[in-house]
Amino acid sequence: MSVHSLSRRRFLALSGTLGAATVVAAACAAPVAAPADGGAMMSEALTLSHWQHHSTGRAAAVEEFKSQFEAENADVTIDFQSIPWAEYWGKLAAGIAGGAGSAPDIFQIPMGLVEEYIAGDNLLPVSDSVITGSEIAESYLPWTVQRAHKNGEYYGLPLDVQTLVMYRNDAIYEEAGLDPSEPYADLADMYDQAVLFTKLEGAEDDRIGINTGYYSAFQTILYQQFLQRERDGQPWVDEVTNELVWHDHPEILETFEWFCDLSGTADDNSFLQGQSRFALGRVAMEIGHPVSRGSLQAQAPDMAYTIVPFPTRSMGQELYTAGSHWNWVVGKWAPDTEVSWRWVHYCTNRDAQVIWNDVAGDLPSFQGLGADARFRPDANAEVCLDSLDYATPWEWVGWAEWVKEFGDGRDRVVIGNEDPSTSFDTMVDNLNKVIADHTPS
Amino acid sequence: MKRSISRLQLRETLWAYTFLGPAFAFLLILIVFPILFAFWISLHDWNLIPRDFPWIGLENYVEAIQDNLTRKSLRNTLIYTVGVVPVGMCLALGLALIMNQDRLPWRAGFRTVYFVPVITSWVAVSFVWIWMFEPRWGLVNSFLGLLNIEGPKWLASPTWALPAVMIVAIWKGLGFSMVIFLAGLQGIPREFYEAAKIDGANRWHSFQKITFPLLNPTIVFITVTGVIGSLQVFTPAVIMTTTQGEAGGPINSTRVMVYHIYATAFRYNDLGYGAALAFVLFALILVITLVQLRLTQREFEYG
Repeated sequence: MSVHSLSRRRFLALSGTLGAATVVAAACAAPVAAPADGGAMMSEALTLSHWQHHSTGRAAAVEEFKSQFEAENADVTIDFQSIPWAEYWGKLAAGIAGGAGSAPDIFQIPMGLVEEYIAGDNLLPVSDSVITGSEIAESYLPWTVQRAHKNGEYYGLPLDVQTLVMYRNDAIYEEAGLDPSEPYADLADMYDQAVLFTKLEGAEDDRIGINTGYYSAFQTILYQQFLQRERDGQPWVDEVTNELVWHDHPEILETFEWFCDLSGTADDNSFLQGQSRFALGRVAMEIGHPVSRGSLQAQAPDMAYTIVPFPTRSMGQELYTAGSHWNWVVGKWAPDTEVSWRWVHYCTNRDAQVIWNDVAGDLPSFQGLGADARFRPDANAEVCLDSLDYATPWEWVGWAEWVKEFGDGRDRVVIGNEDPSTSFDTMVDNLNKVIADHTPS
Repeated sequence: MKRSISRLQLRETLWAYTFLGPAFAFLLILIVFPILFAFWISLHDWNLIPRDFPWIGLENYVEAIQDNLTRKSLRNTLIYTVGVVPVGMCLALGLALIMNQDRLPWRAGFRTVYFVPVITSWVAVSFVWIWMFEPRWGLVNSFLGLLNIEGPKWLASPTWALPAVMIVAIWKGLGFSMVIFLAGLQGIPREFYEAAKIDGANRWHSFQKITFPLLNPTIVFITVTGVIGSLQVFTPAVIMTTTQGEAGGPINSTRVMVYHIYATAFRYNDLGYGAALAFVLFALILVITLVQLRLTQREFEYG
């Protein structure tokens, strides 16, 4: 029997040929098959990819839903990915740009972007066989489904529903002889309390009266409150000009000036910058979402705090808050529309919302659930649940740009000493450009 | 006379291309194609949320020139580079000269200590420095207080936020430059110094006439890589000055170009404009690097 020895020349030749063949094979590999028509029929074994940004509680809840859903639907596998927040947007964008095979079949988007996704023909409407439009209208709180409603069809179901409420540090209130559960009389009352509590003397027990660092939320609720309560619910973007109506109402500039004054007088952006100032007990009050109760529980389990509604502009007005939520949506490339929506509905239906509340502190988007005793274990929860009744959605068109513009508008005045009306004009101009950029043609 | 190619030459050429093929294919697929495609994107109104992407030619580039925020981001990036590279280099050279002394006790230990920040995560050191720069209770201002100096508000101040980030960058990069300089210093033959000493040269003369000229390749290397790295700064500026998810510091005082590109493309979904900004930065880096090489590269020889 002859023995073949491998020469260096032959080895190199084989390696080169193999490398070239690998490249050719990879380039010629068949692409992942795309559904012909957005998917109508359920195949024998179906895998649906589902992406959402990560939070430990929410990821655990989805895993629980997934195991139950897969047990009930033996042929379906949910490929769930809980993606860190910082990577979520880049990955989602790249996935969607890649289309079928790389884009997730089910994913979550903030309500401010849903119109753009619909206009770009990226989403499938909710399947009637799963839940009809009229059932959605009857089941969910109207403001939580209004932005995903287009041309008589719904393109998303709401989760992570949040309103804005005020958190108060009980110890600081009691030290000043005030009752932390006593609601504010109006905005002026909140201002007075914030100034009263502020103590910035360079001492060990320094504190600020109010944390205004969530600039975007603060300004959103203030401007919407005015338009909703004093201008018959006028939207803040004019339908004809597609620009903000703020210049038509001097009260909005006055409110901006008031906010900058409050932020400069009873807050200090250098005070424990980047830290959870409220959880550290260094803030008398701050605006926040009901979900922050979970963070506080983790960061300061022994801290006593009270939640009250956001104050009205003037005494005697009806309460107002701005509500936000995310939408769970189905991409048009999903291999099976009905099963995809069945999965979304499974995770957003009445029973599921009880679980979301337990694990993540989400408010229910289902009508009637707000009255359920399970959602109202204490006085703070009562305030949060009641706020669902007087909320309207944030009117942002787009998303992250608003955070920047509201923050810059405030900073130019409070830190940069710019004239408030000049800063306000710049802010409005920039936001009008944002609205134009995000308005589907 | 026409030169004929032998069978052997043909075979060798064929084999050469066979071996080059995979690397060339990967280069085309993973480097050249994405660059060309990014340029194509920059010529469109390309949104990350899929829709129609109309061709707009050079509009994104015109907007980049006119956009105040882009100008501010460029300005911040250039200030950062001009501050970090020369200062960092001078400190690293001084440190390397000290560390190169034969009689220095604990030399290896010192070298290790100075190199530790280099191998530490940017994220970790950024968070530590946020605490150190805290105006009321931070270590930096407490130390300044001992010297009767009232420290600034650092990261909360539009004047001091960028210098604070620059201080951290210099501190973190010091060890790396020091090691490169040490390698350069140890490559200079000792005979030169001995000859200079015999000729009556003092230490300063030796540094001026021997060390500095012969360190030129090292200086070129550190300058070019330092400038390229600084023009692409991202992590410290973002981690140290993010508020409510938006980086850039108070009144955009630490908004740097790479973050501006990232935010435009992936936070504001404007991929077309983001791609144009990336090419603007690329052009800037290319021009600065060519100018630097032209100014700093000199012929030299030992002896």
